[in-house]
Amino acid sequence: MFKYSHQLERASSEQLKNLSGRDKEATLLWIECGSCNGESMAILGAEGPGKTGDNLSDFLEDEQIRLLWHPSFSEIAPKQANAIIDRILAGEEPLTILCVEGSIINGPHGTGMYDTFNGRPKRDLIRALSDQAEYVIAMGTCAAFGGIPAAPPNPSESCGLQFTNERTGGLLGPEWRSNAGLPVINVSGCPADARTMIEAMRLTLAGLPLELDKFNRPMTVVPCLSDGVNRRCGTAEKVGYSCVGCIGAKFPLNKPLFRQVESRTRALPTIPMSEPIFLNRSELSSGVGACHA
Amino acid sequence: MHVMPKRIIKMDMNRVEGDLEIKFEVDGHTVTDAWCVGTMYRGYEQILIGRDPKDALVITPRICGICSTSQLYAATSALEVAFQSPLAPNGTRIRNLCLMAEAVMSDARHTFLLFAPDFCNQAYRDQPFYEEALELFEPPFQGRVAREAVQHSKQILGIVIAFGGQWPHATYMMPGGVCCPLTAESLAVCMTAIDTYTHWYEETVLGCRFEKWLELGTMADFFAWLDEDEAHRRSAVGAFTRFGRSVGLHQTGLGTPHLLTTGCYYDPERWHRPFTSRECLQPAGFYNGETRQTEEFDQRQIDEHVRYSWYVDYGGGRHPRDGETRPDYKPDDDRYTFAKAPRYQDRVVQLGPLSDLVIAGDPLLTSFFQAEGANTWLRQFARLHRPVSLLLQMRQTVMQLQQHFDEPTFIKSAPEAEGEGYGLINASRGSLGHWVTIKNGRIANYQVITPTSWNGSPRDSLGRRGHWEESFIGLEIKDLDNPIELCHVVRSHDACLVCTVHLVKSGKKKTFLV
Repeated sequence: MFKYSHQLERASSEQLKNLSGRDKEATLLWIECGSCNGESMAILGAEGPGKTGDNLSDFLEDEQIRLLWHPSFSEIAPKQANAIIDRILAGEEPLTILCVEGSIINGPHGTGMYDTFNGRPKRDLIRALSDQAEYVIAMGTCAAFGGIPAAPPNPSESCGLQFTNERTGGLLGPEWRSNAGLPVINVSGCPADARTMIEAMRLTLAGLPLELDKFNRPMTVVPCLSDGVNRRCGTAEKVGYSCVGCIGAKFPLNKPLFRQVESRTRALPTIPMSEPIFLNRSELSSGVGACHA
Repeated sequence: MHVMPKRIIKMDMNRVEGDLEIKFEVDGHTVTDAWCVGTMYRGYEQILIGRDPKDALVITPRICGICSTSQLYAATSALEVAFQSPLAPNGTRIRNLCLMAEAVMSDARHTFLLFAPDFCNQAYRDQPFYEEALELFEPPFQGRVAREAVQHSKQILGIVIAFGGQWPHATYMMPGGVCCPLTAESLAVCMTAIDTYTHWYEETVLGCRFEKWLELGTMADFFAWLDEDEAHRRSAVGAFTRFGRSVGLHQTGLGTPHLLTTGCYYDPERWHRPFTSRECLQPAGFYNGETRQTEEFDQRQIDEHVRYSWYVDYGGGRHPRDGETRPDYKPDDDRYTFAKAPRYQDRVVQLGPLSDLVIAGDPLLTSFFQAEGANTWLRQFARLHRPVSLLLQMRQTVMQLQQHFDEPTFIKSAPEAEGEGYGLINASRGSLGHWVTIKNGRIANYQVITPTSWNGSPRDSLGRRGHWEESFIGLEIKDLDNPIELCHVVRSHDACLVCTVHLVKSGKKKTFLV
């Protein structure tokens, strides 16, 4: 377990007073590789209790972050997107946060040609961008550990950014650090919980100390960072199947992934047919992207 | 005659299930040929082989983060057919309800976050609608309707969460029904979500009540409606129509004349063992563009070709039950994609909400389809029209669940060690199929055909272009560095969620004398 409290030392007291009072503008780039787009979808969906910042659009606005590019939601002229990436790689455009979604694909035969961008392996682009970023965040189990594509027989030769399943070392070596001195921050989950993704970015930007577990998952953000033993979210049981420790670093397990459990006795009263029952407004906000980490 | 060089232009497109690159050949500014290149391979089908059949319920939803409910429904149906499981009607009702909620969500996100932002493209800055387009749809998340769509599409997913605990990637359906309980609370959540969404849809998207909208049975009715009230013109559907038709989207992107839908939303009372008759609330069918007749759909008439795909070629077409996915990537021959080429009755077909609803006999869409064909504007319009009937159907389904409240949502049975099955449903962007073969209690073969594999397919064994490839032919592109006309055509198929087009380079020039 590591603590990265040097960030705290570096942050001025004034910055801590005002979390968005950064001295320079923050930028964000989102890249998808071997992904299902689940995190991009989930991050549209969060709405925390009483807070406005738990979806991507509000987060960008509240924190005054300039979104350089998101493959789903940006509409910039085609040439501009490439130009932005080129400027980052040339060191001309500062990159504060690089978010990576999806497995890093190395196949076939280590060439990376199963996932290409502009005719070149996308993993090479991600490696180069990582070296320019202040912080690199793996959004979801795939980017963190390889996820389902890395399940045997791993046909696409997938890995995670800094892990391959539960082993250290992925696209980037175990010793790799971002410009801010941090390893890849693994916001695991399938999909990663939206509030967790937002919180991880918020804490990182604020320069607050991040305590990471042995899989480099932040301990400070809940709920999706369940280790499958201590912090089960209970979602699986709630809907009738047993939690298998979720799709975390050790996925896939060698036991069946799906086991039904008897649902709890229905404690709620049956509905009187004549009564208008649909009046109470239930909480819709909870649960989007609940833990399957 | 003016001599123009032909050249090939390559652009990368991003989408949910991987990346897409489109290469097109232009003669001057007219597209003369096109190739759709799927540039990513993940190998989900191989990962399933040898696993416990029920693992498909956990793994296949994760094929796609935008249509995970569809994948789960298809996988569950395939296993159910293979196991010949007894099925609880309430299980089917809850599945239908969740799948409808996902479609309603997807229609809003696709239209307002992915399709409509193209109206804010620089290419249109001198159009009279430009300011209004920015106000409504400016990306990312700046336009008023775009912001509201984020909020409301999230809110309708409360229905999936009420039963599945999470979205995307929930696993709560299983052979026999759904494993979640039906509670008064979950029904209340559903009704509130439907009410809230309906209210937003009437206020912002349509500019009128559902009842009034459903009176529109013909094209003429629709245009009369558009003109009769400023609220209609200024609504999202009104703006979409005015913008889209003023730049000619109703005249582009026809592609193949054949439409296919494999049917969806099983009838809870009539879908049960032996599952031989597929009783769907939204019927299956094949619209033959040559005879202009709708024919009965038969899944045995589907086959897949890999002649131009980076897989070991088995020669000709093969039914997905016998299909195989053995990657064989060689960049230097005439094969060009990781996508396969599915065909129906050996024909190139298109599918999506327009196909689903025309074959189901929807009067308004059929009227437009007969007059103007399956064009770019109409395909997208179908996504704005569909939620009206879906929300009404969802309301009915909740009422039925209320009537059958004391019935089980699941019937327990033992899985069979041997079996074959298929699951066919309509995802929000078209029909989706899973085929499974089970031997010795393990998955022996698993094949998935997604809607985008149909629409975005490459050439087949006979060299016939796929539907998208065909739909680009003849398209006039004003600015080859910003081929917005082509982006509209691709996005009108909801090429999975993401299809941000970014031109990579104006590739190697080919010169022909014309």
